[in-house]
Amino acid sequence: MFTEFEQDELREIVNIGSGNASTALAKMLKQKIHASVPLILFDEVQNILPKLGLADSRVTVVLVRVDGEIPGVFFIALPLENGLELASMLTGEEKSGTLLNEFGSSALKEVGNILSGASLTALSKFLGLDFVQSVPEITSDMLGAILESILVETGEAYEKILLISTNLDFATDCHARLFFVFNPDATNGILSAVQRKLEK
Amino acid sequence: MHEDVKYIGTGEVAVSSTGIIKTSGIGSCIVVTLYDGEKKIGGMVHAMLPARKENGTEYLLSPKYTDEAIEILIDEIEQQGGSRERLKAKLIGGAKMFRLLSGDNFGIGFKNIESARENLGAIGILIESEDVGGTIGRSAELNLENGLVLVSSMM
Repeated sequence: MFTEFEQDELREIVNIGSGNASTALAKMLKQKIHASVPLILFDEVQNILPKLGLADSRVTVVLVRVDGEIPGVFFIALPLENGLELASMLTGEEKSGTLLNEFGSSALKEVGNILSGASLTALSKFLGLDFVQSVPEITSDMLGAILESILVETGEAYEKILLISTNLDFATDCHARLFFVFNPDATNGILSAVQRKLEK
Repeated sequence: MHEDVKYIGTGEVAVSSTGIIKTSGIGSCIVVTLYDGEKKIGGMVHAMLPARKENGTEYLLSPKYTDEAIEILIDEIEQQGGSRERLKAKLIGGAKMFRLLSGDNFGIGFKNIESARENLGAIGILIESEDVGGTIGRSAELNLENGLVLVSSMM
């Protein structure tokens, strides 16, 4: 469906976004963060899900809805334990228990805000497309349950959806994964914006 | 521990007369199990959406859609010797994982639950029990020895 060239373009655009996001987070945490080459999947929901990890692994997810010219969803997934670690790094509170407390949750939501803001602003500047981002929502649950809900709700009206994901590896052995999910209208909008840019 | 465990993913269906059928990470999707206690045969489906959008053209039934998934499951069970007259159903899932995506009241999860209830009702299959709705993910396993379903969640 996407040509190699279009995939390269998308990868490059997401690289700009996730590069900005990881720089913002690295500054906040004062440590190095490595962002991987983005993975691009364009398929039906049931074919995408098995490629994203074990359905019953436990994760914390911070999600932001994106409206405007590039409608979709941006979210960060962290293994449960890493979510607790990151919250403790941010709040300075000792890690305790197996669930995030109120303070830890709002610290992670703020990370979601900063990461989505940094990456979407970069994207929007690069493409000349406007967007509005929602306040973040956080939940901890099984990866499969979270992903299927996000993908089905985003792709309800469509057969295939576009998902782009990047791994962030922290110097302190913490791992997070950024996801961008666009519906086909947004995807076409992004591709034609790239075309316009290239023709200039 | 059971040796004989068959896993199904989102949008998949399985029927058996032995062992266990299991699925993990049920969010807004709906899992329907059907069991014929006399023949000790049953099955499970993990469906994503309440129904197909377009109905005009010809298509193959898909377990992605709750209504079609139930049809597929019944056909498969009857082919293997069960009977729809004796089937009992259980429903698991249909959660609302994010308010941002589903709104305050009706999301896909809710519609999936409604679709399963309606379609089973229309065929005349009793829903013995339900663990549906809420805001949590679930895993479910159907034991083909006795038709019991074990539901677990992370919280």
